[in-house]
Amino acid sequence: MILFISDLHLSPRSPGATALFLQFLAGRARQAEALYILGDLFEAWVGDDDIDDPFHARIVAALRAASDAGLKINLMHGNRDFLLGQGFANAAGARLLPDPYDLVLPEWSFVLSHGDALCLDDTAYQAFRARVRTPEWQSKMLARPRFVRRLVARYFRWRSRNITRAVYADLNPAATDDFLRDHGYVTFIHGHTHQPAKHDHIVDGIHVERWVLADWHEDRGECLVWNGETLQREAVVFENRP
Amino acid sequence: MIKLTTNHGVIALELNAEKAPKTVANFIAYVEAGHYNNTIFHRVIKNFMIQGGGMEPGMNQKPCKAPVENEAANGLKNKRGSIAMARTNDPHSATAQFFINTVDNDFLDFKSPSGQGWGYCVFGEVVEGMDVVDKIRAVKTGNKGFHQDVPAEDVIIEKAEIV
Repeated sequence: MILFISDLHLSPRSPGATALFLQFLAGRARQAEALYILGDLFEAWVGDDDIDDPFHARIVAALRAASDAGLKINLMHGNRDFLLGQGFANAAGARLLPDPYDLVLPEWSFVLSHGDALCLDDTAYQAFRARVRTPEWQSKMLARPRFVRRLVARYFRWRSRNITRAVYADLNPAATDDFLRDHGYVTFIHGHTHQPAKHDHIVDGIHVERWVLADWHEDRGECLVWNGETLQREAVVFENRP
Repeated sequence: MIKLTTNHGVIALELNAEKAPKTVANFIAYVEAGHYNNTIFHRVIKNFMIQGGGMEPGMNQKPCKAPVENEAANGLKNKRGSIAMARTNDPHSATAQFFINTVDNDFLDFKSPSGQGWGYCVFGEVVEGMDVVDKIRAVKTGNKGFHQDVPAEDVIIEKAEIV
């Protein structure tokens, strides 16, 4: 069994979603062989020296505990946490994936992505993305003191709130068709748009499924479950326990 | 007194309104609303507790009212035969689900008003039908969906009433 999640946007300002994720890692996730986090686990990430921040340390420890218990954790960058590096991955016991990533299983194949790279109609964002995803920009950024990076991250979030339309930009249809063609018409799973749905594409006469993952809220998260035969959405809610 | 009629027999509960006034009022409101009728004991761990009151057969979660304040600091202990409220990891999040301790579970008692220390609020005890609780704790359990320790055959609370 394989689980896919994305867009948790964890931060100290989302204690509910954070508690849900910790419960998920300690319980439900451990019944799976592998977990794929397809971007924006965190609302912001300013560099792997942030692992020692108490909020992050709890999440890193929970990921590590699940990983030590046998869960294979795979992590992709999102548009918010694209500075997550090998240091974080090592501490969390996770593997960093390139975006896109071809997941080939014995029984089925998938292509995984965060999804932001295909939102071509959001030209302002694409210009920003092109700039910050270069090694030059990132090494310059990471060389700055942490308090400066935090200010820069806060500025980016403020700016993105001010220019983002009420509705999240969606994937560009032509670019998506090309993407599906390039990846051999396999099932496409992504997040980013916060518009969970299953889309049916016909590309070159071939039916291709595109599953959009749900973002997490303070009282509810969601994972997509591959049980070896089908994909199914499953709610992540607080469990009552003693 | 509260009478729980299950498909394994009757469990009678004496509630402690003096020590846990809000929790008892909350529980009685659910009883009066008929909430517990046709719910199941969905989590059964033999040497720990039996938990129920929130799911219908088929593991469908029933809607609940607003959570009740955690009164676990009332001095009542999670000893065998006591009934306490289940909750999420937020100390003040108990709604309808409850559990009956099948052994002494000191580690569930209140320690301090902080995250892990809050414990689970005991608000009554089984006064009749502990043999029924023992029958339920011994049923065969397994995984159902993503839930663990679910009885293989439904343990149903057919009716909950005030007597």
